[in-house]
Amino acid sequence: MRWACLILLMILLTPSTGWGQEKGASPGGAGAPPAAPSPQDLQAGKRIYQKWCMNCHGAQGDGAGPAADFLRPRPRDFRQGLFKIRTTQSGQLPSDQDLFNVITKGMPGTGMPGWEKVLTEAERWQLVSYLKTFSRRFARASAPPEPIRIGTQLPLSADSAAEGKRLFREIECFKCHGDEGRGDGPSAPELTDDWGAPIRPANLRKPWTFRGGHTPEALYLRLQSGIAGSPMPSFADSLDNEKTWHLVNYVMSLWQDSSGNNPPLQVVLKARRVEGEIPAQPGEAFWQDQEPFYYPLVGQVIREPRLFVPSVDGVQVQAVYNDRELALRLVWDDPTNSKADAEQGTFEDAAAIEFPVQVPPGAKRPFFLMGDAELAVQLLRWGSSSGMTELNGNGLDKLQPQSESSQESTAVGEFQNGQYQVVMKRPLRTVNTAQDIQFETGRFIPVAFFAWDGSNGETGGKMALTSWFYFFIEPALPKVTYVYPALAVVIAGGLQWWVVRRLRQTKMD
Amino acid sequence: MRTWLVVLGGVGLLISAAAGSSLAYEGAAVAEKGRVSGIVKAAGKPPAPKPIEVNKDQATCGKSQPAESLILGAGNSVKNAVIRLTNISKGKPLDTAAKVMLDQAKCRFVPHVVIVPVGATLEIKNSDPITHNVHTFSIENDPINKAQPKTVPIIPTKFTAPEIVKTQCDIHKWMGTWIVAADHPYYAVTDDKGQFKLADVPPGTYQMEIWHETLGKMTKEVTVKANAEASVSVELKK
Repeated sequence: MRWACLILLMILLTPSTGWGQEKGASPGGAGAPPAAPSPQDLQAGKRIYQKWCMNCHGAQGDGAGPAADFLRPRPRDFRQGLFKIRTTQSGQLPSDQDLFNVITKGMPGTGMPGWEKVLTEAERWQLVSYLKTFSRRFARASAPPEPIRIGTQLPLSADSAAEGKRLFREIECFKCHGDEGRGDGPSAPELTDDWGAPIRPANLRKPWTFRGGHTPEALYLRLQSGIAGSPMPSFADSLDNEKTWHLVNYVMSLWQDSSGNNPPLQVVLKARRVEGEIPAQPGEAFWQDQEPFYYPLVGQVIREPRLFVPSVDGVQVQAVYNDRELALRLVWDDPTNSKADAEQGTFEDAAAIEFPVQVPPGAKRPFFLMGDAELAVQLLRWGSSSGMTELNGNGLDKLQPQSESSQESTAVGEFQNGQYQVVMKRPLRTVNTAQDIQFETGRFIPVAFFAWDGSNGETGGKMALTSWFYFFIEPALPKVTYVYPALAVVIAGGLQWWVVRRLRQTKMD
Repeated sequence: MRTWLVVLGGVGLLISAAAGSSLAYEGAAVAEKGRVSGIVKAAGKPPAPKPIEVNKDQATCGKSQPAESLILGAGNSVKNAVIRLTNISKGKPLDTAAKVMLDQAKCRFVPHVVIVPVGATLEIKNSDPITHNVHTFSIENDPINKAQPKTVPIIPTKFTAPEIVKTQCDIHKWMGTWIVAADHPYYAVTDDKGQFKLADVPPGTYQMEIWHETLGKMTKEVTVKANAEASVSVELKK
């Protein structure tokens, strides 16, 4: 049951990419909505709602179904007629097509899945008709809302993005979204939605979490329409068509991958051999040249205390080693720099890497959640208040820091503009072989990652995590490896020269 | 084709007029006029809210902002209570051509309670060199949330139905105001001394509603006679 719960959550929270594949003004790709719903349509819509939607959105459409408490953002309360993803001006209701599109594609970064493969097009329209009965505003409206007109697009260019960056400061997007767009602005911690629940501004560098997708048109519409029910206002009064596109282009220029999709997950984290000293400072240019590996994190929902909606949703890892030590650089976004404070009841931010103490010979591995009674794990953990600690675990409630003398790891951590960068170092081989993993090249070593956002109440078992992946320390290439290719080139070249010469001689003859 | 559209439009207008008739207020010259004056006080001694510490934009907003959710004057008099007659159907005309100002100055909405006739224009102004957002929480009117950077001095806004609309700025969480959309002219807000006045009231017996954001609301009956002033004193209990 617990596993089923975890898997279900992981599936639900996996961002849908449906929005990204669409272009243009009609992302739903469906035909026009039926002119006026018949009583049969409404009845059918109600049946569909009760079967598929009610558990989250509630029988009365009040967003308070039995599953609502486990979701953040909470499911929408339909009674106010406030819908986030619209193509209409601030204050206006969504168009029928807007509602249809959200049902069809879902909302990335939330528990709302797309229903394209579950409900037929006709069923989705019936659902739209029924949803509209939850708010009096739809019946009251005298005319259908007018869609926002998207003017001629300005293509993405360095100049346009630079102008967008200037506007980002001028109209003060940074107040919520932060100086570098990671949702860490000074007003961010206090934001609530229209129902009083805390809400986070989008991390503009994670477009795969954007609720209405991340096409240029979608970004344009969010700026013009605002996101109803949230603090995100409409900028229609301050941004004309050109300025809107500049801002869209600036936001898109922040993305690591221009497609806007989440970074691909790589199962094997590879550590490359380097010669000489490894820089301990995470900001060193050296680290820009090392291959990054990305791991998405989910909430720990297996054991009490559970965390259903983690703050940190992914961590980027780089690994290198030299003749003495292993260095791992972790980078993750966290909107607040929290410190442990017993008086205030706040916790520190932290991240950890987990290895088994003994690399198992076969497929057998310790339980990924801090080990089990039989097989122990080792944790390299860095916290914003406590710094670096090595721990051993035989279970979530059996996690102990090692003795002072056995603490051989060091770390340097920095927080800037909503992002942590930490470089951890540990000797490849240690004295305390009973408690420390001994790193060897050429083996597949299980590895897992954890993160805690203290300001989100995350501490102890309340954390974001991955299950096991693999860590592979690439063996140093023997020197002869460099000789063979050169030798091959010389021999091949020599042979060709000889053949050509022979042929020429033959012709002459 | 065109005639059909005109006919359809006309029918639509008739239907909407009929639908609104139950609430419709009729404005005309008032021949015999009475007045209501009064004072609103708080029962007991409700605790005064503490000033709010400002943690951003201190150059514009200062280091602290007064809490405006309850302002008591001498003798427990209540500022910013809203008075309205709830069952008046005829009286002086509603000024739908009015332009009412709601300013955002030094990170405060001024005034804290503003009355705007339904159909008239509320000019939402930003006097600050920083961005605010005007976020309304309305049910009868369409809720808006509009950003107002310093480059947008005025956002004109209209309300279509009577309602007391909670309004806030999300960027500066302490900034709140109440927009009172009025469907007739017999609305008032109490001053520093808790006092209010309604003028040019046709003689009759009315239900009067007194509402305050923190102290809640109550109703009281008031009888207005021609060329006379009815005096009312009410105590709001939380």
